[in-house]
Amino acid sequence: MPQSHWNDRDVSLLELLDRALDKGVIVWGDLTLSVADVDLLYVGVRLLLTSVETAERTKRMSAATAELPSYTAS
Amino acid sequence: VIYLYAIAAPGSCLPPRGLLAAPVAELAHDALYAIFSPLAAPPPAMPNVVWQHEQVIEAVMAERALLPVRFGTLLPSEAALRELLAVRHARFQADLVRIGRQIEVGLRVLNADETAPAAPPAPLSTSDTSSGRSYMAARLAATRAERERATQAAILAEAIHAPLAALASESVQRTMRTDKLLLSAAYLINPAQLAPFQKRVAQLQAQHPMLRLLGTGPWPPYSFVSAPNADELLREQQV
Repeated sequence: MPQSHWNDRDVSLLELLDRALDKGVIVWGDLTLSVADVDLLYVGVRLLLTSVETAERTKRMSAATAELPSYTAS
Repeated sequence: VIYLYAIAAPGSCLPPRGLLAAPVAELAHDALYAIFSPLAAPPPAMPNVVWQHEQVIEAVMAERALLPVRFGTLLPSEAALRELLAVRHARFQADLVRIGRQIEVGLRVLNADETAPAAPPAPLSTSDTSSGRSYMAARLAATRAERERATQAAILAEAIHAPLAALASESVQRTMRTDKLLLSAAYLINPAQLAPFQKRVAQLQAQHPMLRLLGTGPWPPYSFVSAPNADELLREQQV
């Protein structure tokens, strides 16, 4: 039974955040005014990704988009 | 402010709207194109805004080679953007040539066997404290068991990673391994290799029923853009 999740949007959201917030071209000396918020969001993502329950949570995290914004509370 | 999405090769494809419905524009310098939106204020760091960032990049990527820029990158003006293209021209150009139209796919391999990662707890602080020798022996055994488990995990991770890396032109392992997370990797592949790659992942999943293989993509090549070196950084800061 293949269990790869090529179209799982919840897994994709975590993977996207893990990339877009931590990888890609980095421009030094840019304004990055939202850096504190981005860091908070990213810390939340890392916690989700590395948490022991990640496997189970990603499976049933249909509420991911509702859940994640709480990490951005400024 | 200028919100930057990507550095792209020449082409005609631009989505009409970007972050927060702002218009998307491009600025050229010597065959490099910065894809950006002028914004009145920095965007909020929300998952749906990050999706908008991604959607602009994916729309451009449909027809052009590009280097995705990290979410939240702002520049003060178009002049600063032009400076960036000039100062980092060689690196951007080299990355665009190396990566081309290739895509990134991600894979996380989770240990789905709930019993396996339960490490045998080392009896460190209990009954045997009377004997220093038996304490040390127990400690040594626990250390050996831990090392053995780590070795087995590394072998298993490599058994998944190696056949997939063979289908990719480049690959990176993206995070540290844990008991639960055996492998987190990204692979740079030709778009034509996506279906064979997915098929290989399904085969590996069938061979390893105790693991869960989570594949995602195709992504823009976030994990494969190169970092500027010290000399470039110095020049950039002098600008």
